[in-house]
Order: sequence, then C-alpha cells, then structure tokens
Amino acid sequence: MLYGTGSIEPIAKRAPKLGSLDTEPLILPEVELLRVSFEIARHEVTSFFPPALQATLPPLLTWSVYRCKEGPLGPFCLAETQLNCRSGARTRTYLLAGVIDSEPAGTALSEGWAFDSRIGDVRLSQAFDRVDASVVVEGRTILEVSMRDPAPLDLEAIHFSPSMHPAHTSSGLRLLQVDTKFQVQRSERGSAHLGCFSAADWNEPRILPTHPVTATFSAVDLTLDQLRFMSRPEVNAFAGTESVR
Amino acid sequence: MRFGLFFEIGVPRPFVDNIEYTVFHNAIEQARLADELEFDSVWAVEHHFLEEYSHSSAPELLLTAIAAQTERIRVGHGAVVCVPEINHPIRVAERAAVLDILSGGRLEFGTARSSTWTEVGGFGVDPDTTKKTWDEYVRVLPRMWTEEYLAWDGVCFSMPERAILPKPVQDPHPPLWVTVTSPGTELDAAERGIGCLGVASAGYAEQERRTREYHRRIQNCDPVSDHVNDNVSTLNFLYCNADSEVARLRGLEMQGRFGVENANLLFTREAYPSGAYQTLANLATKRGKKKSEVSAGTPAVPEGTCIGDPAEIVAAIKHWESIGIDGINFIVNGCEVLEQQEILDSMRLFAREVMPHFRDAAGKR
Repeated sequence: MLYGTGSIEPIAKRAPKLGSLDTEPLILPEVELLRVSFEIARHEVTSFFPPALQATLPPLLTWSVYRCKEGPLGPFCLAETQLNCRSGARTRTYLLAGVIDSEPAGTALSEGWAFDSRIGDVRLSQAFDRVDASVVVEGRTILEVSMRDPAPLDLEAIHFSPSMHPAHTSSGLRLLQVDTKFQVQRSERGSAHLGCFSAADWNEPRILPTHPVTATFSAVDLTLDQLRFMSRPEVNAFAGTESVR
Repeated sequence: MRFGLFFEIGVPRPFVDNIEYTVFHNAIEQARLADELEFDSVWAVEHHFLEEYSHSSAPELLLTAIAAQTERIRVGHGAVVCVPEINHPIRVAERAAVLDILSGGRLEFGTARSSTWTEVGGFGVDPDTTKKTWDEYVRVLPRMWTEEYLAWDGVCFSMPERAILPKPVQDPHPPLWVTVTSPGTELDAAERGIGCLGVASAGYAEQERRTREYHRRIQNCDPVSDHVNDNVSTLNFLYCNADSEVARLRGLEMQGRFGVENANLLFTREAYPSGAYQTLANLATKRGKKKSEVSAGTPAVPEGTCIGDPAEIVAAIKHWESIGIDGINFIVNGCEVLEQQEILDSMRLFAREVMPHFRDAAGKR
C-alpha cells in the first residue's frame, strides 16, 4: 500500500489561508505551459504525502512553468513542483511549492485556490529546438529544466489531473481539489532535461529525480474552476473527502 | 456462458515469510479446484514491476504448472505483452506452442500492449509504437504457428526464412484474444476477427453498447487468420456466500483492495502523452450504477458484480448473458484479502448453486 505517511505539521506550516471557499472561476487566456516530468527515487516516498493521498508506482515529479502574458491578473510567470498521486482511486497531483514573479497575481491565486508560491524570478524561453525554464529566488537558482527536440503532439494526448493544494480554510486544514480546465491550442513533446533542482527550496529536501520521462510545451486557455471538493489531510480520501458546496 | 478464473497474483507487503510462494501455490490450488468444478478456463496475466498489484511476470510458467496438474480446464495466457522490448515475437510463438502441446491443446492466447508507464517505461519502450507492434504481432503469430517456414519483413522486427518450432496442437492454432481496457479496443478486436477479453469491469449499459458494436463489426472483419474468434468475455469479481451480508462485506473488501492497488499504478497517458494512449485504461472505465444502498453509510455492490449470495449472482449473470456476453472471468482474490478457505468455499458454492442455471437441457453450458 502506498498511502501517505507524512506528518501534517509541515503542511499546516506552509499552507496558505484561503480567502473563501466560494471563489468565482478565473479564465487565463493564451497561457504558455512547459511541463517536465522525472521519476524520483522510491526511498521514503510515502512520507512525502499526507495520509489523504497515495504515491504512484513509480513515483513521478512534474515541474510546470506557466507564462501568462495577459488576463485578469496581469502578466506573470509561475513555476510549480508537484508530485503525481492518487486521492482514493482518482489521479491527482500534489502541490509542494510554487514561485511566482508577480505579487498581485500570487496573492490572488493564493487567496482563491491556495497556490503556495513565493516571489522569485521565473523565466521561460522558447526556441525551435528547445524550451528552457529557470527559477531564481533571492539570487539562487533553484530550478533549471528544459524540453529539447520538440515535435508536434496530438491535442488530445495530454492528461491534466486536478491538483491538491494544502490550505487553511474555515473548516480547518484541508487539501483543496483545484480543478483546472485546459483548452489546448497547440502542443509539442520533447525530451526532458534537468539542469538544477534544489529540492529543499520546494518543501521536500529528500526528493531525488532519477529518470527523465518526458516534457511538453503547450499553448492553452486555462480556467481555474470553482472549488468543489476538499479532503482532510490526516485520513485517506475514501473517509475524508468533503463537498465544498 | 463460460466461466473462468483470472489470476493477477496480487501479493501484499511485507514480502516476507515466502508470501509469494504462498500466493502462487494458492492460485494453483484454486485452478485444480476449478478444474474439478468444471470451470472452463483459468487465465494468468503478464505484468512486470507492479508491486502488490500483480507479481505475475512469467505466466507461461504458472500456466504450465496448472496444465500439468489439471485434466480439462483451458489455460489462458492472458495476455502476452506484444511489444518487442518485452517479448520478442518469435519467443512468444515458441512458448505458446509448447504450452499448447504440454496442456494437450488447452491454450487460449491473449494479446496486449501494456497500459502502464510502470511497465512501458521500465522496459524502455517507446509508447508511440505499442499499437503498431501489437498489430504486427497479431498478424504474424498465426503465420508462425501454421506455416512450415516463415520470413518476415516488418516494422518491429524482421527475420530471414526459418522454421519456427514447435507448432501448436490446436488446428489451426490456439484461439486469439485481445485484452480490452480502453474503450475502442473492442473494435480493433472485431476488425481483426479476434476475441474480446474484457479486463476492466464496466457496467451493463457500457458493456452492452460495446458488445453490440463488436458483434456488428466482426461480421465484416478482415481476420488475421483462418480462425475467427467472435467471443466476448468480461471480467468480474467473485465472492459467493450463502449469507448475502457476509458476501457483501468480504467481497467488497477484496474488490476495494484490488481497486486501490490498481489505482496506484502510473498509467502511460498520465506520465507520457502519446496519441497511442488516449485513456487512463482501467481508471477511465465507465462503471455501472451501484445497487441501491443497503443502508445509510454502507457501501453497495456495484451493478453486475458477482458478489453476493447465489441468487444475487445468478441474477447478475443472467443480465450479462442477456446482453451478449459469452464468458465471465473472475478475480477471486485481491492481495490475499480473502483466506484461501473462503475462496475455495465460494467457488464450491458457485459451482453447486449458480452454474446449473447456465446449463442447457443436455447439461452443457
């Protein structure tokens, strides 16, 4: 069994305070999205998750870097580190941490959907042969990833799972299920490359990327939906899932 | 209606005290009993690296042991992963022929391409290619079994003219099946004249739709060999107990554990986007509605699931029969949740009180 065995305490410490559970949907048009996935070492992997979630076999780490050029939050770049997981029998990702380059956008995403992100320099650059992303916080590079040798990809091929975000809500500490709709306009797939990853800066110092899986770069219209479900982090999802409304 | 057992060989952690030995030998004992009770087939899957969920990485060996200890039950090699990095097609043909010989012509041969990144990634397979390689295998295997000499110039492998030996006992060759998890694979089966080996449990409406379309399409198939297998079997769970409530509690515990272990696998679509993997396989299966809740807060048996007392199971199977299903393969345990004696008792009760409902006047099913 791969149920999470991690302590709730560090999650409570880092979880943002949600403004309201009644967030209105937010549409972000023409977002560029780089996703890079690596398998990670199995050792201690269940302790990376709270009991509400299960690790996958093998465990998979995905870095996502979004560049939003316009929209209701203004321009911003956001980088996230997530672990693929299960909530009950459902495919999910678990947000470990994020870095964003715009304070107003960061605040809105944190208050509305519990995006846990601090301020830093997030860069995404695209060329015909590669797409590179880097994240610098307080002068230190904490992530460098890239996709190389891209080729067009069927628009239906990419799977996006809802993401679980720790949050302090009016009901207490919860994992929010953040449902994001991705309308993919174009997409490419290439090989995954890792230049630098400072795991401790993404809230889980024990993560060790071991094997590149793949990378994709997509243009998407993105809708952050109203919150529908959340779960108590300390019990498995079959017992602890609650409807928001 | 034909009935089979379907072995995943789930092994619970911790992997101590020869637990794998126990699980394999429990399966063999179940197969021997199934033979005595006149079940029609026993299937063993091929999976790799799927900790706890399935330790059945060499099913042809398990099935050889079963064939040697049984008299009449058919042995289902289900399914062989038709991807060259995992199984070279020549070795597949050779092993299957030997198993058919050793079992006295009792082999059913399933084909598959693997749905998990756990397996595909573990063998370094390019996920974009697995549909193509599967298609090449199902065309070449019947020729390997039936032609004295064969040369092949294909996409996934080529070979100069050779005699592939031995040849199977069955004429022209063992029945071919393809495992169906993703919706749409049943149509691939129909178009090639291959049997539909359901390995994801769908509800009545979804299965009826798929079965109807399969039977419609196979009428005009372009078969991969002279022998068309137009049968549709489906996968189910079996726990039969005279006490419906005991059956429900124990059966759902077994089914639930199986489901959780299955869900933990990393499906290819999730890890590696590819046009060849358009669904999350078992996780995308459209489930049937549940029967009305037994009482507030207690889980109910999903529609069509063979968990219950004999009368409840007869009713479920009658429904499957009415929508054109030819056979049901049963998972009888999940990660050893049920004790071996519970399983053997469940099989005996099923044979005594359920099977007779599916015999014709001559006593045959």
